[in-house]
Amino acid sequence: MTALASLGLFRALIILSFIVTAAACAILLTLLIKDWKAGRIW
Amino acid sequence: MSNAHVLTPQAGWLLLAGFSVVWIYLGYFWGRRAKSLDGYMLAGRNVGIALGTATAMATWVTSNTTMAAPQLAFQMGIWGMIGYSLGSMGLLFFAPMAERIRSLMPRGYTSGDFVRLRYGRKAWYVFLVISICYGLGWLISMGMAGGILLQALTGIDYKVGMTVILVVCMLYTMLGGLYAVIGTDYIQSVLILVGIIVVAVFAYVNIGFETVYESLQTTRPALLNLLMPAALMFLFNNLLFGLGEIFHSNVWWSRAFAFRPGVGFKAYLMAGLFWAPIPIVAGSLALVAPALGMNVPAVDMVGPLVAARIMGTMGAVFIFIVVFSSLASSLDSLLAATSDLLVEDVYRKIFKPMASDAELRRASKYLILLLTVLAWLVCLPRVTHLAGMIAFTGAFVGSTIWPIAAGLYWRKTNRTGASLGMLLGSIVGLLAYFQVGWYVGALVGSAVSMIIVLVSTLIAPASFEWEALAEHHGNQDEPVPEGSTV
Repeated sequence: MTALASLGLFRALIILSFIVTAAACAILLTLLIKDWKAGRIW
Repeated sequence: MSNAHVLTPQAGWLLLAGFSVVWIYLGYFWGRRAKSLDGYMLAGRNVGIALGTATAMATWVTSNTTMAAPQLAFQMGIWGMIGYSLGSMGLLFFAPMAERIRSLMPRGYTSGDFVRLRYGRKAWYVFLVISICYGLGWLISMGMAGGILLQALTGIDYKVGMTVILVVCMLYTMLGGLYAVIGTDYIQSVLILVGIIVVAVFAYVNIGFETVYESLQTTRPALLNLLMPAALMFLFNNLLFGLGEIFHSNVWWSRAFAFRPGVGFKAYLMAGLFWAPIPIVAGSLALVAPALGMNVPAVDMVGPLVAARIMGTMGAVFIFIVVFSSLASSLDSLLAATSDLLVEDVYRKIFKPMASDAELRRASKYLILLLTVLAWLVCLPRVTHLAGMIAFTGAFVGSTIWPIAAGLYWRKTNRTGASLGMLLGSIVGLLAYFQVGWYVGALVGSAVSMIIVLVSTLIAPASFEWEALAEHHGNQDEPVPEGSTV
């Protein structure tokens, strides 16, 4: 059996993964700054 | 492999030396905080949300994520990437467990402590064998990946590269314990996220989604097939593999003990959400290969090859940093957590119950050295493909899912069921691995273990008292930390 993914689905999957990865990086940096300011890194 | 040497050996050595010096210095720097055994083994049991999230995410981004995910995408297409991505379910499901572990065992050290206190010594022995086999399998898989990466990108001999990476990780883990592991994990997680997103976005912006898609449709339509049976089987297998690995491994339990109360749930939840897209981003690189008309000499190198092809030297540097960070973030965690398991469960619990903190720290360092040497010896011959290597351990880890999860939440789960579930699950799972394929080991191991645990619990329900998990060692003088229920 075959059911090929459409171009739209293919594009949406990959773009979504790009966005979440970039957001993850930004959130990690924000969390570190917040922990550092509050003296709660370790 | 000669067409993959985009970086010269000199450039490879330069990058390797630069990062090695930084990691080892940081290991020494953070290691100065480790003044007690709890400091060395568990980073003082007070790790905050930022480092907690990053260490859980970075540790789960192994070299297998960044190298085997493209390989799986190249072999199994879209479902290969999504299936790999479902490995994040382990982190997500472990989030509530981490909080419960911290609360039930405020003085715990290892996952072995839990199994021994919850199920007794027979189950503990079975668990230790499984967990140590798994730890070694993972170590070997990453040692091999390190050698392959260096050889593929720089031409540095496989054995030399593998040796250097293992030795660097050993040194900074020995120097700084879990402080060094978690601290470097943060930096490595940022490097991984930035590196992988830059390369993948560059590839799709330059080549275009339409071109990649049309090329796949023409040359490799199976990779776009949403109903590829082997890929669907892999998807479920990988989901269970992730659950089993994280539920049982001391890598994750040691972090549950190390995080400040209230941090475990949020840290593991965010780590799971942040990790999920990484195999898709890494895998998407492999799908570009047909559009580039590339000849891929070895499928486990497809990711680095594509990156080097589309971005030249800069791509090779990026991918080198990503994979080196992935390797280091997991290798250090494995060395630390496996040596903790051996120190706490074997050295202290079996041989020297009254060992002092200083003795235990010394033993920990020797065990990190021993594990490195063992991994190095097995890595010398390059025996199998990366995905197959790690999948070999799937049967073992799949068999631990039910004994661990049921044991944490269900008073009625009994000792015999847990022991038999792990033992028979591993044996039958291994048979399936050899008889059916590498992608069913975890699936079969977990199914057999589930049936045994459920049936034995229904036949002979136990009545476990949770307070029995709150073990207090003779040489622990500090008060029980805040946020514990016992």
